[in-house]
Amino acid sequence: MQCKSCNTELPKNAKICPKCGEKVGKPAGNLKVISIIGFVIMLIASMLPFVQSNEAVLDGYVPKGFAFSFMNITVPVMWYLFILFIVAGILCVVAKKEIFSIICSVGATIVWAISFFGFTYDIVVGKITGGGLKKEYTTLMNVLNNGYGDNTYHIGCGTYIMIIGLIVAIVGVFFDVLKYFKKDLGVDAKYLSNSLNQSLGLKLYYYRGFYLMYLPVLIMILIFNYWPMLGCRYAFTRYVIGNPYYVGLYHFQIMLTNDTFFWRSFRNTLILSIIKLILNTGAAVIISLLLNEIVNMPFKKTVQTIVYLPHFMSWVVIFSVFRMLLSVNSSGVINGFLIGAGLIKDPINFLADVHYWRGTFYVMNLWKDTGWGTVLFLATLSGISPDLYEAAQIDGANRFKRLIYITLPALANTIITVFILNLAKVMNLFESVFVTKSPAVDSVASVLQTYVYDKTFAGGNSDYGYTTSVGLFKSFVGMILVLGCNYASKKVRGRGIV
Amino acid sequence: MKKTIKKLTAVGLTLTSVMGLVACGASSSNSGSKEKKTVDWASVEKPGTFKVMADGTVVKDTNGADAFYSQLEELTGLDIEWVRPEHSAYYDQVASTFASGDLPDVVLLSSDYLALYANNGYLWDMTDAWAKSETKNSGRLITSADKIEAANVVLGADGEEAMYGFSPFRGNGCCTYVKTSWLEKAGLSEADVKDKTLTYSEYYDILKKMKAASSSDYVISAPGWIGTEAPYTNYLPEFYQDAEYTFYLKGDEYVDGFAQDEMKAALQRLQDAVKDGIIDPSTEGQTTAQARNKFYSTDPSTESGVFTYWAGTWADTLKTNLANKKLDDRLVAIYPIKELGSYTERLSTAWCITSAAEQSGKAEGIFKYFIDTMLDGGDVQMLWQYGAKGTHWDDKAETVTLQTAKAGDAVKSYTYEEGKFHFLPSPEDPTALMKKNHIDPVLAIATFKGEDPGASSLTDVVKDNFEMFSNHSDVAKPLPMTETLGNNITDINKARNEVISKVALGTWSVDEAMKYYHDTVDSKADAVIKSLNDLLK
Repeated sequence: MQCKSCNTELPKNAKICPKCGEKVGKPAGNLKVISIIGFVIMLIASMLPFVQSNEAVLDGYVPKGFAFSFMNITVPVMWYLFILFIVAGILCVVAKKEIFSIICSVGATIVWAISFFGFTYDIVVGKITGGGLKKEYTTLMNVLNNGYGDNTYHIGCGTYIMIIGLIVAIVGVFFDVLKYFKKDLGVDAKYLSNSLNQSLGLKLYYYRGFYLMYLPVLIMILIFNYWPMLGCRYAFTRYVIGNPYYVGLYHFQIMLTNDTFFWRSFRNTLILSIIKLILNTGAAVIISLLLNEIVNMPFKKTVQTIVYLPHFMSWVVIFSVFRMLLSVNSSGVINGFLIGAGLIKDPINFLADVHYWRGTFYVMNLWKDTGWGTVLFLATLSGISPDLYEAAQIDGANRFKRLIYITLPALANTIITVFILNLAKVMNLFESVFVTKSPAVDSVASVLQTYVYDKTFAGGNSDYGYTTSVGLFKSFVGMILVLGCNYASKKVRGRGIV
Repeated sequence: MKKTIKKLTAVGLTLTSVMGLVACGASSSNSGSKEKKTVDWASVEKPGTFKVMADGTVVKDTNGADAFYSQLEELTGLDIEWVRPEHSAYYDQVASTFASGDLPDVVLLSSDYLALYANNGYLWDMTDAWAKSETKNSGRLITSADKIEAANVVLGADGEEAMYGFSPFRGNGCCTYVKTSWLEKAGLSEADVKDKTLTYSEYYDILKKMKAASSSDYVISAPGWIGTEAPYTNYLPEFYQDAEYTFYLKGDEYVDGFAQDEMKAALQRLQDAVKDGIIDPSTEGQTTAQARNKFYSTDPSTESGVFTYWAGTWADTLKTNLANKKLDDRLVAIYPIKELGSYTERLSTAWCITSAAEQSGKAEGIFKYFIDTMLDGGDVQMLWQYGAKGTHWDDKAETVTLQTAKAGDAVKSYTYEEGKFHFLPSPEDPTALMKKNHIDPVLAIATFKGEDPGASSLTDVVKDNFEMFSNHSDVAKPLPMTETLGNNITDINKARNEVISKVALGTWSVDEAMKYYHDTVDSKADAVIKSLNDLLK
């Protein structure tokens, strides 16, 4: 190790430089990511049940006093204090004051332990005039020892996860995982402003102009994307208008074990999205290749405009057009044609028959979005060097051979990129299904987003708690898909998409 | 070091305040219930500014609402802040408003929402106010008024039944209209259906004859197989007959109407009618506007000949629209068939005062000066029934000319003498005359102190039709709202609607459909039935 001041080689365990007298500090290590993960685990654990009922989850019933955590403690200040310790702990890790971070994690645990043994928790037993909740109060030890109502209780997963989080937060301080990702490039660090070897502050200062320009976007993202995420807490609550109360993992248990409609919607989401993606991408590639072969420019532009147009129509308009074309009455053009041609005897209810709805849905999507999907492919095709085609022509390659050996390989990377980027969005299917489905085809058409909409707005209690848990599950699957796509992208293209 | 600590403290406090918001949901609500106050109604004063949320049944901003608001303020001296969401998205807005906690002081609610919000403690108990109100004690109430208001007596948050809303008008209902021209084409006459109680087989025979004689693909095209609010079955009543779509009190206990044999028989009738070409298969997912347009269709292949739709004012509107399309406008509103017994009058929407008004001490004043004046039998009732004088109606001598819908249409003009009540062209659609404001004149639950000044505006068609409907209808029975019902009804109705659609379109047999229904939602339905029956104990 060298002295920061005079670069003199220092003896082992030296406290001051023997040459210039400069104090020798312990070299700062990298950010202790594992410790931060530990703190985040502790934060998540604070929302999970510390104690939970043994009552079986039944369809239709919302049990009383199902779970207890910081979210239904009678003194919520304890939770705020806990969060304060967690935030302080994370900041200490970031500031590389690891000893203080350990103190914070222990402090958070002490707050949690005091809350567990020393405070009372709410049990919602009814409602009161004015939109409030009628509550009873109990301690965790009381419900563990004596139960509540006819129910017995056990230690919930929140307690176990809290302990795991604590261990990870403390032990993580001693593991510097980032060093395995850093390479000694043998270059002075001051020339590496954008590398991992530079400090964050220096990087921010070096690119301050860019960060300043990014600031409005960051603020917008924080307000519109991250702020609403705080609503995730509703996934752990039973939503009573204006007064959600804590039910632990009740919704997730119901959703994953009892809810036929949820699983049906989940299955439909994947089927409809993935098949639609494959068909749309395939059709866009074919149309692009065909358009690319057109040499008459006015004709090409006209065709391009025509195929782009449906993209700008709303789904309501598209559905109205298809509803008229596919009508089962004698006014229906398609059924009229099929009957006239002797292909069918009775009209087919394309939009209300489970056997035909999905096919019709794919066709509607193809009609609407194929043209728009060709934009990227046409841009790629226009970038292929004409020299390659000329050379191939001289070598005697016909159009088909040129397509197979020049065009498609040049297009392959774009196809994969488009496919991967869209695969990450497959869980977001809503409008097209919402507009075109009806109760008769619900079994093959209902998707997660429409299911959430129905549960929220189709009458009865707007069950925001349950629908938030469905939304969280959807986001979780979406995240897996994005990470999977990122991995696939790295493998295929050499770089990720996130 | 000091600087680092300062920075960390600042960032830490900021982050903590943000993270702390996560914990906001845990803030506890106060418990306990309030004692009911005794109010000296004579000394109740005007409430000051208050917020009223209403749907598009009160004249909309585009239809001269400003004139209505200012005349109401002039007459009552009330300072009202109006909240007027888009009519089609009204209940989405209501749900969002209640969820956000920023409650209006007064809100117009359907029976389902009234029961839901009352059960959650968000509505003010107006039982005492109604009992002592001028309207109730005016002697001008129609005989069925008590029955109408009884539907607003629902369970509150305290588990006690009380009146949480006031309906100034009846809910109205649907009756079946038959085109005379279609009857004649089928070799029948008005006399074969008018003022007669047909049996289902007689009615079905008539439908079959009409189908055989017409070039249309169907005879009936309805707005969906089932309605979205009680009484649900009102658009195809002859086919559902005594079947109940949802839970109802049978004898001394609640049962799931959908699982009863009556519903199985109804589903079979629907399937047969679609198969026989009587009912349009496009009824699936069809809106009311689309179904109406088929009734007015000038294309013989898509025209419908029988339509079950709203009674009263709509009887006249249907005729007018047929005439406007130069179609034969003769209609017969038939009596309910024997198996149906009577048409069902839906539960009316109700004006409710929220807990926000109660907390600000305005509830009593709002009831006395806003709600209790709606049916004052004088000028305020005129406003609520017919709209603003000079904008929606007038009584001065003048000639009213309607704009033509398109060039070449005949210009319609009406001349009135001084003192004669008449409607003016609708500000929103100057090609038609205004018909009413919030309270349909034939549906008001209280009469005027003297003669109804606008009575002359009611056509014989409207009066006769509504009289027939009134004599042959019953008010739908409200279903109490329990938490279990509210939690599960969406899933249960989803299964029910799927069953109806698939049976009607012939995808499933009735037995297959009912098996699916039982397999899918039986446990939820059982939970609901248990919660409802617990109320009876």
